[in-house]
Amino acid sequence: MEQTNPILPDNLQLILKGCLANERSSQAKLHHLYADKMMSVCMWYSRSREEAEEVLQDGFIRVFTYLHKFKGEGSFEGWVRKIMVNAALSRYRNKSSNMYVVTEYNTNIHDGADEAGFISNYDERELMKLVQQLPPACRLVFNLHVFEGYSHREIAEALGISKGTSKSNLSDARKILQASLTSKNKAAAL
Amino acid sequence: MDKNLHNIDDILSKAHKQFVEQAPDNAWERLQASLDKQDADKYKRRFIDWKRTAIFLFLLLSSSIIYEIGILNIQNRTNKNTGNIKFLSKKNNSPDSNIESHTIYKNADKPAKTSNSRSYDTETRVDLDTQKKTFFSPYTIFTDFNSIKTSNNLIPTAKNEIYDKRETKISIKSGVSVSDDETVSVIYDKSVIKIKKGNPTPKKVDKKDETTIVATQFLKSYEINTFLKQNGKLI
Repeated sequence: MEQTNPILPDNLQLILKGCLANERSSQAKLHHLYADKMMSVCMWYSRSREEAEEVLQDGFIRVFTYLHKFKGEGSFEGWVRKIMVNAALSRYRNKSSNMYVVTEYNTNIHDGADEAGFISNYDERELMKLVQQLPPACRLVFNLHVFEGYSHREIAEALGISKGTSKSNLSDARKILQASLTSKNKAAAL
Repeated sequence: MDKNLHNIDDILSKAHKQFVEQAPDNAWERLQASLDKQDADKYKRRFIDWKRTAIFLFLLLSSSIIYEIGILNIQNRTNKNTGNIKFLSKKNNSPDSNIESHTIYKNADKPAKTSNSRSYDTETRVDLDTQKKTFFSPYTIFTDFNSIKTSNNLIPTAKNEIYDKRETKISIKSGVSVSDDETVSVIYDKSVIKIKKGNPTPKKVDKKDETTIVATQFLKSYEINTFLKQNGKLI
């Protein structure tokens, strides 16, 4: 962090330098810069907004604590995002009771309708809420696989589960989402 | 895999990219409070570490001082028991030396009376026999004299009195009578109280807390200073 990084804009470099010196003003600027974006990320990994706020705070504390480890390779935003995802993961690792798979949903509901058509009728917030309602294990596996592009091996390592469990959780997540969408669609049609 | 399931992935992925949620207004205040608390804990831990180190060093220093004092006490006790006392810091026996002898007597081996000292009746007698230019540091003498504990706290205040003399031969005789041609300084605790020449009156100085300095010759003060510099026994 001592040398200037050509990837980072000058003002961001100044802010990071200040953050490394533990200056509150620089930390506030960095927080202001990324808070909304990271809040969006945290919302998808949490069951509620309150939980997302806690993950966001925990994530920013980690960012300031481990900022000296950022070597300037790749995008800083990507690095911060990864920290937020890890904060969400470690929250669930600490609560190991969250890691069971709930399969109480009726996953057999599938009427073969053109789901892509009616899904596009939902806005992002509604879709996000559907993901939030997934059981924690399914939600994490689904998010990591679909949004972050993790392979099942990487998910297994990150969550401390087997590859088979990861695949199973992903499949369950998809079925649950599909079932939720179908029932919503039917309810809307009535 | 079902085509619709893939569609779900794509659509949700798109929604994820487009979704924006505002952070709460007080998010920074809460974060700042957490950071302040974290910093306070860090400083507290650091302070505790420093405190531990300081206590450890203090204990180490204290124990080393106690150890040194113990060693010194043992040495002093040994010296007292054996009478083997180093009287001067440096003894020069070369032909050019002005120092001829240092003698320390204790009760068990008192010498016979000499012409210069008629009698002595307290515990210790120290004679420093010198030729005309022998320089003894009075301070050194007193210090060593103290170390054998024949008198209490004989101190450097006497030093100045003797520095003023010229070509002095110094003898220390504890509670000894002196001859008529000797100059007598009687040292009580912490001071030289009188210097008399020819010793007209005190035939015998035998109080327990007194020491007699008998001076028959005078040293030049600068020579004493030279001696002190060379022998370096100023304490």
